[in-house]
Amino acid sequence: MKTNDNPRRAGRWAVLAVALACLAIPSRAAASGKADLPQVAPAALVAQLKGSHPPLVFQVGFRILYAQAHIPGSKYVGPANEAKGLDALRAAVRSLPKDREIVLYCGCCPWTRCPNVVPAYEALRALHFTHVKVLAIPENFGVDWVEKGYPVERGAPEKR
Amino acid sequence: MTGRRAPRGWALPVGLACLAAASVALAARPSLMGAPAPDFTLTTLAGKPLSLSSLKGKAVVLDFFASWCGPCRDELPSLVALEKRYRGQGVQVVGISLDDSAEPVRKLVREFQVPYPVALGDEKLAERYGGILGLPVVFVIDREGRVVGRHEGETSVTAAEADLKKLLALTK
Repeated sequence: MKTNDNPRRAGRWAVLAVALACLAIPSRAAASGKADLPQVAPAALVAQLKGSHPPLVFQVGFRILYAQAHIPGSKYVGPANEAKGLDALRAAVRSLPKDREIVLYCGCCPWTRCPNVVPAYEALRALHFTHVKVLAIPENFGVDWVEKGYPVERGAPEKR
Repeated sequence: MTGRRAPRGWALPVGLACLAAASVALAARPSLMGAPAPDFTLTTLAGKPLSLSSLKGKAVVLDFFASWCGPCRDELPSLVALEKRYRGQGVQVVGISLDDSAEPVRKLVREFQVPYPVALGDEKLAERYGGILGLPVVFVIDREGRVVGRHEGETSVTAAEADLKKLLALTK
């Protein structure tokens, strides 16, 4: 009966609309060449950090951001668009097994403009790490992590 | 009978409310809107002392930026133009860099011929301004030293200029 089909059809349209909306979200990332990076959503990372095998988390953004707020347990390596930051990242993973799960994050500025996550990811891939993901932060760490109520720690990183 | 008591009807809603309150507390960041802008005393890259309190009587556009930040660099020409356009109307632009060192900032200042004072900030200053957890962030401060605008991201200078226009219209 037609009358019974209409709600179903409306439901299908709704599902299609949601699917199209989801496809549209990563388009900004695609525009910046970051679309290929394996990503982890903030909520998924929080769940992983509470689990029995949490990933190692590295902040590859700026020091003052880390000092104000960072993901609990994350290690500061510094901006990966600079040689100093990349060297610190390489040193931090030197003794790790290549299949160790690693999450990189920055959040300095909008995802499409972040200068740090791509070089950091590429450096770890060049070292043959196989389980590296980047935290999806569309706007910045304040908007996408702190204001969402995800856990944070404060404090300056240890001096190198 | 198991002897265990069923959870009271109010336990779940109260528990959820507590969780929600905790989340709000974690997410809460102090809003400075309408409040006095935190004073600071810094030394500019040119070696001159700079305090916000010394600018009382002027409308201040305070730009938190970094030399390596793409959107900050994109906004810089607009900020320089804004400073030139409004300086005769008692407007002062101030740049606070969150770079780790002064040298890349000096280079940027030279490159964009930034005419207004620029100083290096730190996390303490950033926290007093409610947390600068992404760049750029532009504050607009009225002639009495109150925060009347806070704008984050790639269109922050355009939004700050809109605040400034309102402010200047009010004080004409």
